[in-house]
Amino acid sequence: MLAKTPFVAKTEFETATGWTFKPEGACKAEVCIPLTAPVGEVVDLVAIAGEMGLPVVSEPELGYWAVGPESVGARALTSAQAPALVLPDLDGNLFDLASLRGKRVLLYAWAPY
Amino acid sequence: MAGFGFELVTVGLDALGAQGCREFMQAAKPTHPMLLDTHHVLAAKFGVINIPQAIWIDEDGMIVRPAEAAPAPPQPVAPPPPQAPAGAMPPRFMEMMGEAMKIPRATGEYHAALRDWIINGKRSAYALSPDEVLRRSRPRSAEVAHGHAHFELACALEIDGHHDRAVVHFRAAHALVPDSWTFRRQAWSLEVVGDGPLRRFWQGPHPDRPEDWPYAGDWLSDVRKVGAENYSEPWQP
Repeated sequence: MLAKTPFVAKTEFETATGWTFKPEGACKAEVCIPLTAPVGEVVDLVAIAGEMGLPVVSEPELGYWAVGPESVGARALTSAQAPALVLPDLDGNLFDLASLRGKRVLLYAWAPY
Repeated sequence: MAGFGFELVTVGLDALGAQGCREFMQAAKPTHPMLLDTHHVLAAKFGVINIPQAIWIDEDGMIVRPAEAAPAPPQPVAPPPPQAPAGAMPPRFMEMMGEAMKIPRATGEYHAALRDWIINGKRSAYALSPDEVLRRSRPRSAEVAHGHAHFELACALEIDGHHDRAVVHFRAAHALVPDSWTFRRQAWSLEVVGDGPLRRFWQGPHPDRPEDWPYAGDWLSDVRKVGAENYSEPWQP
């Protein structure tokens, strides 16, 4: 996820990373990571990501922070449940992969290079 | 195929977004969702490391095949790269095409498996169990995750015009995630060498100014180093 400062709204963090804050800690599918850092309406990216083992890199003077994905189980996938995916089309309209629930989906990645 | 409740969703992984992908997407005259992934979210979320790759997701939202090399799907997706005028092909492009032709592809097998799954769903032998999906998914160490953060930051910097800083973070991503071809190809494609419709495929130094190339590798050198036959992992049913 990307942010312009190291403090982001809790809901923004949850939506961007797919992790949800519960009493047990930060949770995704069957995995929960206990937290000691406080989680209010705003979270401290560096503190929270540090406890979750999520990498953070930044260009502070330019105003860019990036939190990388988790490496739970040392795999790209934490679960076989397809992660949330919302991306724009050419016209800028957002498309939610979950809207295709009920269909078999081939998700095909390509590039113009 | 439409009667079986199947949908193709194509995703263009390009920091240049609409600007980079529009020509291909419009020429394809799509009847399916065609999305733009400027920060390579598909890499972070699904483990995509090269293109073209595909993921199968069943009707319950479960991944039944994790990201793997995939030939173009049976429907038209995007036209082939634009052709340079005859006789104007620089030697480098001829060499790249020569290497590309050596890359093995399991097109027939993959399409047959895809059809089998579209028709048979969960009963298909090609729909993998959740445990098998996880087992086959991309390994991701803490270093690799760190590389993903650098790459996402690099894309954001590039999009906002901070090219030199983007290069710093692309280089970090390349060092931390040596298995990702998309991390390298995306960065290489943003170095403008020459013009014309094939410029983004050059992905290497300017022949007269090799010292200006900011990256450790380039498409031709890297493919030769690993061997075109090893460019993508063989398809495992």
